[in-house]
Amino acid sequence: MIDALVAGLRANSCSVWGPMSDEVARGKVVERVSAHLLVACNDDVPIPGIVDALRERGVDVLTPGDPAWTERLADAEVGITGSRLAVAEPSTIALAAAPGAPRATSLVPPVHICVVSVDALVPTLADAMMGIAAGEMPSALTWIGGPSRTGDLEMITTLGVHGPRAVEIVLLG
Amino acid sequence: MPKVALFVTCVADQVFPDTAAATVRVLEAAGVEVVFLTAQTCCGQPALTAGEPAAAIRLANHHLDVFGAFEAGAIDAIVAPSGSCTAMVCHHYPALLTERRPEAEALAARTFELTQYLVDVLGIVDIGARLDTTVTVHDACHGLRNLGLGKETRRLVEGAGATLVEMTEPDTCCGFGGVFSFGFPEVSTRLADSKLGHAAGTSARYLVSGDLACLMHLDGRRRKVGPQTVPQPIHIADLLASGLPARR
Amino acid sequence: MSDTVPRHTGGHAITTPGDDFHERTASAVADPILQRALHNLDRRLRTANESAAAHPEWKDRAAAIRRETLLDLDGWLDRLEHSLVARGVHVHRASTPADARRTIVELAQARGARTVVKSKSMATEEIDLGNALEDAGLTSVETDLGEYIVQLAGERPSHMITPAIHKTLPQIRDVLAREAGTDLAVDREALTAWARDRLRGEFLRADIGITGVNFAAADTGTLVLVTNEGNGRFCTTLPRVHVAVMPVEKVIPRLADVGILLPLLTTHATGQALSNYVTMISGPRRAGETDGPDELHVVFLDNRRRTLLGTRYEEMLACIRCGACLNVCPVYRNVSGHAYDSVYSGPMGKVLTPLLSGGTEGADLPYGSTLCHACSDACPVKIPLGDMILALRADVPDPQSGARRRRRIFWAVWARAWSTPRGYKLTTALARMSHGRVPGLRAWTSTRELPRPARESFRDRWAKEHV
Ligand code: SF4
Repeated sequence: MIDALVAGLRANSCSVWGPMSDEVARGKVVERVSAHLLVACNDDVPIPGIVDALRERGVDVLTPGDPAWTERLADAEVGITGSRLAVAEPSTIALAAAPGAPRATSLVPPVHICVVSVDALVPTLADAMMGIAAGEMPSALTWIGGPSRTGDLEMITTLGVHGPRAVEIVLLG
Repeated sequence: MPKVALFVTCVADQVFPDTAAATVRVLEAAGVEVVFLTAQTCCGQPALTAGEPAAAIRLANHHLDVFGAFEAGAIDAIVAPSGSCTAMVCHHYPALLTERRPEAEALAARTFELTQYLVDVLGIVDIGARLDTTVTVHDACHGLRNLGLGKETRRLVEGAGATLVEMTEPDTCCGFGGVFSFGFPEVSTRLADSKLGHAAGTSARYLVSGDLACLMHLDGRRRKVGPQTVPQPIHIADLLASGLPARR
Repeated sequence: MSDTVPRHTGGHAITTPGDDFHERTASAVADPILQRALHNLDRRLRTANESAAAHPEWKDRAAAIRRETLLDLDGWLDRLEHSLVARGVHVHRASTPADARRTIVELAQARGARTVVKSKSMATEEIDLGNALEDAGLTSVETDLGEYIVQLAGERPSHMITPAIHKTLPQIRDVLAREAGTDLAVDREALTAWARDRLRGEFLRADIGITGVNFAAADTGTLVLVTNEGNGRFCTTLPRVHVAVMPVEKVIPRLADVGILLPLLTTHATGQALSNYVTMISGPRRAGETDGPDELHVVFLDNRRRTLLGTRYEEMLACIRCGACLNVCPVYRNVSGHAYDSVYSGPMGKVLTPLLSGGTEGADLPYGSTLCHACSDACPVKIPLGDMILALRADVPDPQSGARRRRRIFWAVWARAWSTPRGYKLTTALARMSHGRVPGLRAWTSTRELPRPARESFRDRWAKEHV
């Protein structure tokens, strides 16, 4: 299942890291973003201490609690989110909107890093839909399979038209 | 010996009688006795595609009167050298003849296209024809999509020893479409050109199909444009009959 | 008011000239640039065909779900409305396009809105919403890249999944460069980057986001939206108000049904196992959330759809707008969408256009089909499009019109003659005597030879050999 997820995401132009421990993942995320100045990070990213680790490295971290979140998000170079549900085939990752987990984090910055626990993986979309339809739906549940793309220019794929042009998935487990 | 009533179709009867005769020869070579009912005319398809189902229903009733008159067991099947006319009976009659639906369904159940009858019903792929040539196949739309045919023609071609060379998009329409070929001649001709181009790409000697209307369209275009470097359009019955030993 | 968008005065530029469908198909076939652009469609055809073939059993399940919905469409709509309202969503029912336009324009005006961003939606095309908003003094910006190009060109989409399929890259550059007021390179990355910047500004400024709906689940009150570019996500994330226009047949009984319908839609639309973004919206922003609209409105659009229930055309409402029937259609592949001169093109357009207009529009569309049934085969929800196109030739237009009466008489006379062996022999003998030179054949013979009737019919030959 994990292999199918990784293969599907890679085939869809994502970078995938892991599965790895929290510890290693923290280092990975820090390494991926340390060159950036402003990074937006949701509160539900499932790596303990990730915000502090980033700040220690001198990264300016914007969190949803920041009163200037909306204005500053437009300047963020990376958005970091956490997911609690992923599907192996077709390969896709769900982000639930919630307080502390805005919708725009995975949309506005040009790079999106999503941290997913492999415990969250189910085999098919049908399985996932059964599960979520039974519980309470978030106001917005967004499934992401890869970077923003278009085929509108002579049907040749071009990445990053409105949303992120790069999507990196960090698997925990 | 299986006994078959030939559903000749008006196009074969009036324009391509040689193909009708070839159909009889092919069936006979497969060990089938063929009878011909002279009261048959046309299945009514032209009126249906023109948007006049009432006229089509009148012809359909006639066709049902003629071919439905057999006692049970008097014949084994009704066979036509056309996927399109067979589809008219099998696909459209039950919906058109609402008042005679059971009869129409019974008729549909024993009406077959030539290659369908040979290969799927009789289980014959070698009728004794010998062909030392190369062939590419055009899947005529109604045989393909209304009757689910495709492999039958190919198996018969190979059963006769001919070499099959597949073209690009063998299952794309040739552009005939009945009234469409008159109402929309530009697109119709464009589609014929694509089909002929794909056929030419195979360098086969023959372009074989199970529908005379498609062949009439393709050959009409081929003759109009001149240099005859594309495979010659030919009906599967004519092709197979040409490989049978001379009679008597 | 922003100067980024040309003012529409209603109607769209007709890029494929001609007074009727036949004339427009002829101009399309004769247009070399269009023909070059259309080659790009073949790529889509191949990928979509391959991935669509992967799960044939999905089609049966999807077809069953869609038919189950149509059996009690009104019931499911009531349930959907109930679920949506319970989530704080405003539901509006519009029976005509004019109702829908009025509802949305009033809603925008009441909130003092100035800019509206739209995500590609056939429903908003159907009600011509963009022009209605512009006429009301708002700026309406299409945000799907292809749709944006088409809007700037003053045209309408020519394909429901790939709206600018009729344009080559140099033509697209020209449209965008005119808008940019500077030269742009004929380069996908550069053009995309320019559009990204330009449209990002529109998203930030917009007061209202308008989208269609791909599916709406009655049990949970969830709207499902599919995009690849992410523009649909912007429209439902940044503006204060989100309005979704939902043709009534988009309702599905259960959110779980999405597990089947969604992969089927995307494989048939683009060949993707799933589109890159699927957004499931269950109400407006909730307490404590940082973004998302404060208000969510859903407009149920009927536009004669419910009159199709119980008719032989009912199944047309099963359509999930995947575009597969366009991609496989031999006519569409050669003429493109503008030749149809209607919002919906291709095989499904030939069926929907006359039906949704009550026969006043697109009455000649059903004749422009070879009846090859490639559409029926391709359709993921098994709509018998070929049979419907055929049936519409009889049901549209008005059976009392003069041309229609003449046609009926001609075929009635023919049927009368050919329903007896004697009449058949007589008329065919006449045709043989005239060597097949009957009037009305020029449309055929100018590009194709026509065979003559044989000297001796098969039946005569048989009679001689079997005395
Ligand atoms: S009719 Fe079928 S193939 Fe055509 S767009 Fe609708 S669902 Fe897709």
